[in-house]
Amino acid sequence: MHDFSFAPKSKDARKQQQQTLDDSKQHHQQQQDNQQQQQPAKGTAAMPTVPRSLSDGDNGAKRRVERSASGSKKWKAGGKNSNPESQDSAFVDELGDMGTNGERISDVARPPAKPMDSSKEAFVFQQLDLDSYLDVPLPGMPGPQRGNVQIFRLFGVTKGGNSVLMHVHGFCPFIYTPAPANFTPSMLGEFKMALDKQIKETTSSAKDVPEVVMMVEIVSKESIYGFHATGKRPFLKIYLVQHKFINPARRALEQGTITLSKLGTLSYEVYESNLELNLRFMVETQLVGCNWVEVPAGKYKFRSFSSTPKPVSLAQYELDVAFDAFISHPAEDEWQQIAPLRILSFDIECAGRKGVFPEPDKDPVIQIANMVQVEGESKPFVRNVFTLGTCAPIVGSKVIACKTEIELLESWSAFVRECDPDIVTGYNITNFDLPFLMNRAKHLGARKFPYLGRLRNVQSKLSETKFSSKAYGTRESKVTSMEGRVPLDVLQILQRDYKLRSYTLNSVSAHFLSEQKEDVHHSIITDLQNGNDETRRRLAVYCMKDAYLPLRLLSKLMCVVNYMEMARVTGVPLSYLLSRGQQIKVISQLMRHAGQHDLVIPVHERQGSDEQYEGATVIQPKRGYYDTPIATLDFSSLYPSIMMAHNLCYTTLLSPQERSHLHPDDYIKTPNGDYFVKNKVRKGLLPLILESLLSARKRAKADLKKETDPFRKSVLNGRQLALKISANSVYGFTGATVGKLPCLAISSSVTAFGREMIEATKQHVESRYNVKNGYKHDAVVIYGDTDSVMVKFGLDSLEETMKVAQEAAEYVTSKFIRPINLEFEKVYFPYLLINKKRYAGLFWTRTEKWDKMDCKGLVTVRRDNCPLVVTLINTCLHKLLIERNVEGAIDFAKKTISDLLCNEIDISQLVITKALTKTADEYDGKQAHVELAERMRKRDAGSAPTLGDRVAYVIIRGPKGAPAFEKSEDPIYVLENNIQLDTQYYLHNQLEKPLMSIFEPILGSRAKELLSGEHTRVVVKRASSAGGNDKKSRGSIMSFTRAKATCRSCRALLPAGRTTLCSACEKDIDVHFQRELLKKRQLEDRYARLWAQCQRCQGSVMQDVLCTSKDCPIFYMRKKVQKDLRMQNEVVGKFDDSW
Amino acid sequence: MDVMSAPEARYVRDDAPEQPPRVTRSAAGIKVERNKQFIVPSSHDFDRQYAHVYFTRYNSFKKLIETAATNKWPSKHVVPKLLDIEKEKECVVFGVLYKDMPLKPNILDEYHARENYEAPPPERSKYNSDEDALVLEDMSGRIVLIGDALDVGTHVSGVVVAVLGKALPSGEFQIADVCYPRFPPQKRLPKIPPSYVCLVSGLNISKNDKARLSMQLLSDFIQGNIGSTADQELAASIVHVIVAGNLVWRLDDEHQDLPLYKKRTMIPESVGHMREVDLFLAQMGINVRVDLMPGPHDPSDAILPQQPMHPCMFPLARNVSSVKGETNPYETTVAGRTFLGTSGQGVDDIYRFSTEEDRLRILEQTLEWAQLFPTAPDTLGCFPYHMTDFSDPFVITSCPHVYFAGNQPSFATKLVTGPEGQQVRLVCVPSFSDTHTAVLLNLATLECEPIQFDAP
Repeated sequence: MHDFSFAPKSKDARKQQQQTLDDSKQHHQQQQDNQQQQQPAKGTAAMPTVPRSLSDGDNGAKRRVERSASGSKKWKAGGKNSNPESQDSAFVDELGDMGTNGERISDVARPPAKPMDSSKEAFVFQQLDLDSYLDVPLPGMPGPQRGNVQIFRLFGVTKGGNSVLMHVHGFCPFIYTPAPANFTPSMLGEFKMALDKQIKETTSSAKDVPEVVMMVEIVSKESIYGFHATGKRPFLKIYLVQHKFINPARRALEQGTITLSKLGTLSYEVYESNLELNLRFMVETQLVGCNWVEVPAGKYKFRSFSSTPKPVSLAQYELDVAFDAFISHPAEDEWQQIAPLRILSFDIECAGRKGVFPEPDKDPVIQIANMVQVEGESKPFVRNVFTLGTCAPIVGSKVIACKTEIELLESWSAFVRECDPDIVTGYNITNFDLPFLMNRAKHLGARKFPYLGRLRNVQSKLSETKFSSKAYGTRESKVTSMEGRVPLDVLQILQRDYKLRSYTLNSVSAHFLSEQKEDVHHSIITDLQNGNDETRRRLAVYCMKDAYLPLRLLSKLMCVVNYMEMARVTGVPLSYLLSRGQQIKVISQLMRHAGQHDLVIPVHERQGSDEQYEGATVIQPKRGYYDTPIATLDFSSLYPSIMMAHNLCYTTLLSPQERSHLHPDDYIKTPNGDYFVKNKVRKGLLPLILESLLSARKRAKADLKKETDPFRKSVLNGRQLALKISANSVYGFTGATVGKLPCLAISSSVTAFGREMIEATKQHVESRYNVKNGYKHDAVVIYGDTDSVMVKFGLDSLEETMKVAQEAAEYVTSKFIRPINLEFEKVYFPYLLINKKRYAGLFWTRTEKWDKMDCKGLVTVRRDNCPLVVTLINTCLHKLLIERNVEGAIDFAKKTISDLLCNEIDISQLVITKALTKTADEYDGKQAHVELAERMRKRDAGSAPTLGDRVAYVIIRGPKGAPAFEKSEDPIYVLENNIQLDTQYYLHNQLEKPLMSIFEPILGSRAKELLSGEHTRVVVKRASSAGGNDKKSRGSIMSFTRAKATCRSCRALLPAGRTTLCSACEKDIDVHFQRELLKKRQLEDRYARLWAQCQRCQGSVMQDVLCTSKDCPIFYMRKKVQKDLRMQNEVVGKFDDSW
Repeated sequence: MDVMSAPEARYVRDDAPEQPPRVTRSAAGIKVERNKQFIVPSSHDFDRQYAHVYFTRYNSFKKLIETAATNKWPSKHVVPKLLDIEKEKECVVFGVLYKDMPLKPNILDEYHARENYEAPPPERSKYNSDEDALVLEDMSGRIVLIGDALDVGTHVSGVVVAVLGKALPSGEFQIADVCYPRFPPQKRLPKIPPSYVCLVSGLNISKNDKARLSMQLLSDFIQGNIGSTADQELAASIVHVIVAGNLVWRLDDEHQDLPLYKKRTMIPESVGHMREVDLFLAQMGINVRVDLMPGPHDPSDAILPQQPMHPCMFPLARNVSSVKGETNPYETTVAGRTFLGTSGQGVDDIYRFSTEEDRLRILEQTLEWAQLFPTAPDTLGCFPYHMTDFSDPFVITSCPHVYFAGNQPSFATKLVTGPEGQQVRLVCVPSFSDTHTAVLLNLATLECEPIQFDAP
């Protein structure tokens, strides 16, 4: 409708709305009928003359290109989807285009499963997720035959896209303990009985279990920790019937409660009792995350409703297998492929109350939009939206209108079960959408709702977890269980893998997809819902776009492929990658390798020690602006290669006693004072793991070069990336003091070697490349950090510098032990070294053209800066480094400062944004954005930001000495009331520091001149009425006219009757007029272009623009231009104009 | 009387008559009525959005288009709202066209390019591409139009049409035929003796240029100061001069990058040129009425309708009572002949966003569409007008006798005949600075000829 919420409605409009409502009811029925009649549409394809019919093939091909061209930030001309200017309208059109494949719209279910003969055909599928449960043993399966046993469930998909649930039987968890001296196999029975009895006595849940300890055997093992000259020794391997008995068993063993007739009562040290069951199972069956599983013919049995046991899931194939009867294929060659996984992306809209964050016990869910796509395909094949109340049809999409909220929730839940996704995605679904739906359903009593997993009759449950990781910090997270489906929340992925200024869907889309997204404020959503079926349609299109964008982000960033490769490389289930930290990945690899070498892992008691060790060193930077090429020499994979070169490992760590038995040639002393045996005595396990990772990476990189298929290319790239990350995380694992198996001797030695090598590199370079040795200049190492050194060879030409640097890298490499390798990679020219870890330079790898501008540690990513700082610093750096125009950079900085002080900066450039995460009382100290939110709530509770919202504010002029938090104000309020900004605050608190940091190395003390001088003196007082933020007077125009008029040219007071110029300046009236008119023209032009753009972007020219996306660069501009135009209109209007 | 093919009247100044006799204006009694319809109310409000412009336009055309459609397809079912279209059923729907164009310039692209230090998207003479698509919109929704009956290339955003066709299962609308609003009615022409209106545009006064001499010739000619006796008699029968925009060459943007403290004292380059124009107009307007329309280059509004240029820039001409500042677009009646014209922005803008190369044809199209500036506000700036302050000013509600567009690359003219016998003289008035050509239009016959002023 034309004006449904803001402008007062005319009677006609209202009548029309009513009419629409009535019409559409009827229409909706027809629409549904039509949907059902839909035949495989050949309509558009059959008309060759249609200029813009996009056949499926075309569209697919286009997207493929996009995929391969990822990373380029440019708009892609031609690609319809990438056209940002008319994105939303394009989105509606796009939905239409998708819809040409009519037959699939209603076909939500998976392709039918072909009947298979389990005695003749092998069963092959890609597993995605696993869990375990307790049940009575299945006859004919290995393992305990009585009581409840541990059974594993593997969920996955076949090559044909059918869902699979495989029950794996017979696997028992186990722990190790060193066999006591004089222990003989004959004692095994007694030991088993004693342990079994002890556990039953101490554990109530074990009382009725027929046999807690399944079996005990003697195996030859060795502890992973420390070098033992004695080698392997006998260990007892104790199999338990259920995982939960591991801890009672450990207690029984450790506390010395086991008495053997010949050995007496001993206490036993326990190994590997703290490893997770799922991982233990995967390691023992050689499963890695997302690999392919093959069950040979005759080794499995399908479940059916006529057999026992009956199927428990909605999977198309459900089968039973013994744990030792299937083949787990490593993800290599043909097994690198990915099954046609179904990815569901959804988004919900709630009708919140004004000014309050939606709460599930009060606010209804009104729409749920869904997109289902098969991984590797270019567009979603299911597009629908469930709405509360009627909704006008949307081309190419199915609208499912529900009468009640319960119906909405339950039919959505039924839809999820029917389309049966393998991966569930969306934006912030884990912490918002899913919990909200769960709680809402509970509140309303929608009993058929919480069955979102693949298991029949198993309710989804909502729980909370706290996740702590050194790398990611502490995050509280909610978990909604959906057995068999992996949640992959795009927000969580982005928060983990990318450092961004803002993580709202709008700004993320702008960043990665280069397109703006309409953002409708949540207070308007309720109005749209309460309108008619057209306003609800509008909301539905908006909601569907929010469901579609996460899919596009996933495919643009190739998340599914990369995460899958990471799961395969590290061997952990896919779901762990988002829910767990780095350590679990290393543990998984450690367990796999340790098992192969008969090593067992001790249980490390968490001491939470704060023991610190010295980190990487930096060579003091010689700050400055370097106008000659600076070569960068990097140690490739420094820490892994140190560990390999020096054979640093748990298994090679020498205790003083062990050392006394060895010849000094057999071991080394690290710079940290620890001792490790050399390679020739024993090769360490960690070096082995690292070697296999790095050589696998080399292979992947080589394959990547050869590969031409874009999809396989992305798989290989994901693989080599995963391998690199996991190689680097091994070092961190040994240093994690709260980890499973910290060993500071290793991590401290690694960093100590690193420091030594950086220093040594400096020595080698400086002592060789100098005038004394016949070189033209003395080389100087101007900076060194962790794994790289920056060398100024003093040569002016890039080509010569590269040649010398290459030679130097080889020369220094020759001084170190393999596989340590110093590489020459790049030259910075010019180079601006600001401080430790803060520098900028133009990055060259070839002599012809620079690659990019590289900035490290500069303000560009910091979120509490206003965009002006970022723009200014980036532009200055651009001028300094790329244009090499120092004067230009200075002029630009001066112009910016001048414009700032004259209030000529677009307000969007001055907006600072912070998320309101807690209520005011919970914050320590006063904060600008919190105070503002409070004040806005007093003004208008409806539009004020609520918990979780991001608050945008600017700093306004206040009483002298007032703290900044009192001077924060809503940018829109500032625009509307012409409030003066505190330009001094912006100059001194925002611009000064970063400006000085880049200009001081160049200008020295002269840099201060940027902050004073002619350009800072001119301060224009804009007409302003409301000086403070709580004054009621609105509308500056009124006050403007009341003020005494001054001559626009010489500022003399004007006598009555004159409005613009004094009699002396009157002769130049045309000059003054045209000057003002030019300004007005510029504003008019801006007004027209900005508002036309918003009209296009929202996909309708007849509806008012509702978008309030604070991430859109033109949001404030278009508001400000209205204001400025009104002012300038007044100014120009004062020139009397009768012909 | 098809295309006007009068031999080109080439005027070369010869030094023959030392003292050309002054002539008396033969048609001085002819009445020129000024039309005020394009004045923007002083209360206009930039707080409004452009949605209202389309809404107003839609409402202004609703009746017209419905009538036209029922006349054209009497037996077809007219669906008043797009929302109510039933799939696979033939019907007539109407609404505003919107053309999706991937290459359409976009302020966000420019912003993005600036942020990334990339070159802004290139300016093009044409922005159409194979991926352009038309959608039809009314208050209830949008629908994608497909089919050959409506050429995507030559249609532009903002045009109001009715289409006959049916919705496909995919949701697109397959067009069989198209219909424009009813051709507006025209007033009858009263008979008068031969007299002329002179149309000139695009003086484009700039630093360089020998067009100044040609301008002087034009001025001398109109005042009857030069030429043969026949020329002078011709000049004497000119009753009215319309200057259709672009007095000066481009308002300079070169000061845009200056910091404000320097900008405050700069003198716009156009000031000197406007002073020159003032003198020229004051001379020329001594004994003939001159109506002055602003053009895109002139110191007037940047958005449409452009308001009369401010008299303070014409200290001399404002004292000559026969020189008047007018709006662009502009409508006037001379001896009962209605002149409707623009300074050419509408034609230029459509040219950029359409595949049509023929500007005269574009001018004709705007008459068929009954809209002066269909592409405003999408790609052409306009005031955010609204039903309540003035109903769509750009709708052509009555058929003019002369319909012109200024500042075109070359002279072109054509007489078109409407369905009810309306006869309209279309004129592309060439840019004077490039062609040194003005246009003389005979009010009695509506014939029109170019007249070129070349300095030797």
